[in-house]
Parts: sequence; structure tokens; C-alpha cells
Amino acid sequence: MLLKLAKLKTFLIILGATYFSVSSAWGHAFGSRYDLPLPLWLYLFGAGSSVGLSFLVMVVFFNKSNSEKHYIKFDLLTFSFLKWLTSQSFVNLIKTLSILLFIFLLLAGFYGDPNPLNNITSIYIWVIWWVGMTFFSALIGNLWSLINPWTIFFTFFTRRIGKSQTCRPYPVSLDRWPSVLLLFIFAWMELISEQAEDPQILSCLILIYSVITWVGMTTYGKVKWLENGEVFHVIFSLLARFAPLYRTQKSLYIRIPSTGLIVNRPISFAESCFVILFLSTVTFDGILETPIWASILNSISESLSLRPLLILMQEAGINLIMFIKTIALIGIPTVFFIIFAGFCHLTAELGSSGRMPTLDVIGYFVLSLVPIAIAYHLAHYLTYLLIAGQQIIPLTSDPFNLGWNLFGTSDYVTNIGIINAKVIWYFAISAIIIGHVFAIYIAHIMALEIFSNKKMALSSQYPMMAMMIGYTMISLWVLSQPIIE
Amino acid sequence: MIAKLKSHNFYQLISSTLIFVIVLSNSFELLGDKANQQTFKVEITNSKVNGGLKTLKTVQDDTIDIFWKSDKALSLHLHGYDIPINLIPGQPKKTTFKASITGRFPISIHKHQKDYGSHHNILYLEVYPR
Repeated sequence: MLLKLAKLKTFLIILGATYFSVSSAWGHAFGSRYDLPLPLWLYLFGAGSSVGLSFLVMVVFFNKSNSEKHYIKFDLLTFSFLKWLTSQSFVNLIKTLSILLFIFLLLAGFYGDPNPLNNITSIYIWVIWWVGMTFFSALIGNLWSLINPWTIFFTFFTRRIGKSQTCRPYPVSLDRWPSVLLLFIFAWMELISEQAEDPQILSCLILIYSVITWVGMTTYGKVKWLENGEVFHVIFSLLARFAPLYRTQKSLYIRIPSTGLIVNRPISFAESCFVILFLSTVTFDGILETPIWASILNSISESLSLRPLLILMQEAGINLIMFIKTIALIGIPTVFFIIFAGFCHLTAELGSSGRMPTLDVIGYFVLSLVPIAIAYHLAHYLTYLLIAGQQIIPLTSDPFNLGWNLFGTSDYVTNIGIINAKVIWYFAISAIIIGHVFAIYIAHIMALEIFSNKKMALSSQYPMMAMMIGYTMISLWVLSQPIIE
Repeated sequence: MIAKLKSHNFYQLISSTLIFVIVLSNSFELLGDKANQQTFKVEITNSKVNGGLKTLKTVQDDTIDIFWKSDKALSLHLHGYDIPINLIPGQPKKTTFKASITGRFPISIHKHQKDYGSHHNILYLEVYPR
């Protein structure tokens, strides 16, 4: 009995310690976040506007049925002063810089300061590249496809070697699943593992991922692997569907933002899963910082019925907090998918009297959720990028922790007052509302394109709209919660 | 023509929403104009704030006085403002500063000075924009 009590006490202490170590872990947010929660009046305003505007979009686009007009685009290269943007020498310069940066970051990860907050690789990868590139992809265009170092290396070496190696045909059944699996692993590293910020581990992970990518490219061909297995290519291409700019071999087009999300055939089940998993990880990141999440952890740790199981797991050396988060990382996307599928089923019923399979409806409409996720992402990460990102300024002057002062900025101290809370609030609420309007707009266009009867197409949009309002509300709610790190 | 009109409508919708947000948000004056003096009392027992995890709320440019009392020697840190607070058992301590930056800032206990990972938050300071 005494032994049991002692065990229980140890367990509680360990759990307590683990809980608090979560609060101190950098998580994604290594480099603290100082965002104020969205005030109630702004939260209510955002919620009301989303509902009102949803109906307004419906009214404005009531008669819109000709699909051509959504694809208005203009080739920027008709302006001769912009031609240098796609010139071979400029592209080559960008690619060379990308490769140099890649090698530099690998080295700085291995040989720089082991403290992630003082290492350029950790800051660059998690703040500048990961957050910055998602912003860039969504708001400007798909830069990653141009600077992807794995593609550049692969292309360079295969050209050197010649095309002697034979590629295997990519198995149809594999579809996008490799990228789904890799996204899950990446999200786990980013949001749950406490190791991925460590610069040396990060450099090792980059090397491992490089090997995976090159093996994939060698086996199945560069393009096939990029589309199905190179998770960052898939993520940034997905976000860039929203962007106003897109590039082809000889042109650089500007288009109505978000129209890249319109598809003329349903995307596959695997790709839909990828989209849902990506969107839920974006929200999951925010949920992990809310008081509700903290109280869920508390109630699990205090639950008498779970205690024997938790003690067993603790004894087996399982990190309980990481375990619970992992369950949530699997659970949240699954629940998200089920709810979305339910609404898509209703949409199919109302739009085609059930003739169109729900899976197809999912494949048509899942991309229309992307603007909501982008909006939340912008609202959630703007301050993070602006504040944590400043750390890059001193580190650029002394990347290897050798006491250098290359650009005279090694003494730079982060200015946390760079952006006022009011500005962030207005930015956040505008982003959320605009994102919501884009989502409704895209879903509306999709409905008019795929359902033959216009009246039915419109009524099919009520469940979709309800779901999108719900999704936007979740984003707003997360932003209105005080961050508990 | 219709196409132009429609996309025109769409952008009108978005821009009018934006203007509406800005106008409405400015019509809400969250709090008064004058900077004030704010005083908080925080008592800590066994490394925990009495009454649980609290949030101290204030407005930008207020002058803050925090009166501390702890039963243990503690080394606290107000993040963001980067103010160290070293407490000695039984001895009250006062921290004074101007809340010049908006945001939500954790106050945490640092177990080891050099261990950047080892701290936990016992209190939050929220500075709202004026």
C-alpha cells in the first residue's frame, strides 16, 4: 500500500514536472510569443461579419455560372522591364544562392551555438523559412518550386551523370500517401517533439530528409516524387494555389487570388487527407496554447480511472505529454475529416440528390477551406515572424558562434515592441474575414460548376457555408484565447 | 462586361469590409487616455501564486508597481520586458516599471540561470493598447 502511495506520489511529481516542462518547451513557439488575446468585441464582430458576409457572397454571386471569368489572368512578362525575373541568369543566381544557403545552414547547425535560440539554423528553419515561406507562398507565389535545394541538387547531378538510370513507374496506389506520412512526421517534430529545435538534431534531420527525397526522386523520377512525396513541395504548392502570382516556363501570370483553388476534377482521397491533415495541424498548433488544452491535460492527470494506465506508461518510459499530444495530432484531423465528410454528404444530397459520391464532393470542396487556414496562419504567426524572426539579425553576423561581427549587428537586441497589439488585432480580424469570404466564394464557384441545376447548387451551399462559418469561428476562438505556454 | 462587373463587386465587397473593420474598431475606445499608476500585490507560497495562476491586466504606458512576497528564495523573470526579480523569504520586494509595450508576458520561475529550458510560468502580465 505504502509502495503504491509512494509510486502515486512519484507519478504525480513526474507528471507535474512533465506538464511544466511543456510550459517551458519551445514547441513551435521557441522564441516566446507575447500575443494578447483578441478582445471580446472584436471576436463578436469577426463572428458576425463572417455570417453576414457569407450570405452576401451568395447574393453577389447568385447568377455567376460562366466559369471562364474566374480564370482572368495577365502575363506580367508583357512588361519588358519585368523580363529579367524569368531570365536564365537570374534563375541560376537564385538557385546558386539557395544551394549555398542550404549548405551553410547544415554547417551552422552542426558547428554553431548548441542553444537553438542562438543558432541561425534553428531560427532560420523554424521562423524565417517555415513561417516566412508559408506567408510568401500564400500571398505572393510558389517560390519554393524555384529554390527547392533538393530539386536543384538532383537536377544538377542527374545532368552530370546523364540519364542512364531507369525510373520505376510510380505505383498508382501509393498516390500522395508518402507526403501524408511525411507531413505527419514533420508536424510531430514541429509541434510535439522537443528535439527538433536542437540545431545539431535539426541538421541531422535535414540530411535524413535529403536522402529520403533523393532516393524517392531516383526511384520514381523527380516530378513524381515532388508531387507525391516531397512534403514541402506539396505544402507550398497547395498554399500557392491561393497566391495571385503563378509561373509557367515562359510566363509569370497574375490572377484573382484563390482562383488556383478551383479544380475541374475532384482531387484524390489521399490528397484530400493531406489537405485536411495540414489544415488541422495549423489549428492544432493554436489549440496547444489555449487554457482549455491545459485543463484537458490537468483533468487527464487527475483522472482516477486513467491513473493506473498512466503509471504503467510512465514506468515503461513513455513521455505522457508527448503521448497525449500524439493522440490529439491523430484525433483532431480524423474528427475534422469526419465532420467535413458529413457536411460534404449533405452538400451532395442537396446539390445532386445524392447522385454525386461524397468522396467526389470532398475532392471538389476541400481546397476551398484553404483560405480560412491561410487567414488563421497569418493572424497567428505575424508577430512570431516579426519578433522571433529578428533573432536572425545578430546571428547573421556571427553564425558559427566564433565571436565574429560580420555585419556589425551581433549586438542587436530583439525589439518586442515592433508591432502594437492593436495593429495585430486589426490585421488578424481582417485576415480572418477576408479568408472566410474567399473560402465561401471558391466553394460557391465549385458548386455552380459541378452541380448542373443552379437552384440545387445554391441550396447545396448552405451546409458548406455552415461548416465554413464553424471553421472560421474556431480560428477566431483560438485567437481570442490567452496563450498559455 | 459581366465578368468585370462581378470581380469588381467582389473587390468592392472586400475593400468595404476592410474599411468597415477599421472604422468600427477605431470607434471603440478600449480604455481611457490617461496613463495611470497600477499597483499589484503578489504573494507566493511554495513557488505558487496564492489563489492560482493569475493575470495582471494593465494598459499601455501605465506605471506598474508589483509588491512581492514569497516564503522561499526565488528567481523570477518577467519575459519580454526582461526584468529579473529576485525574492528573499519573508522580505517584501517592489518592482516598478513602465508598461511601454503591449502584449501578454509570462512571469516565470527560473531554476537555473544557465538552463534556458528550465522555467515555468506562475503569472502573466497583460498590457492592453491604449
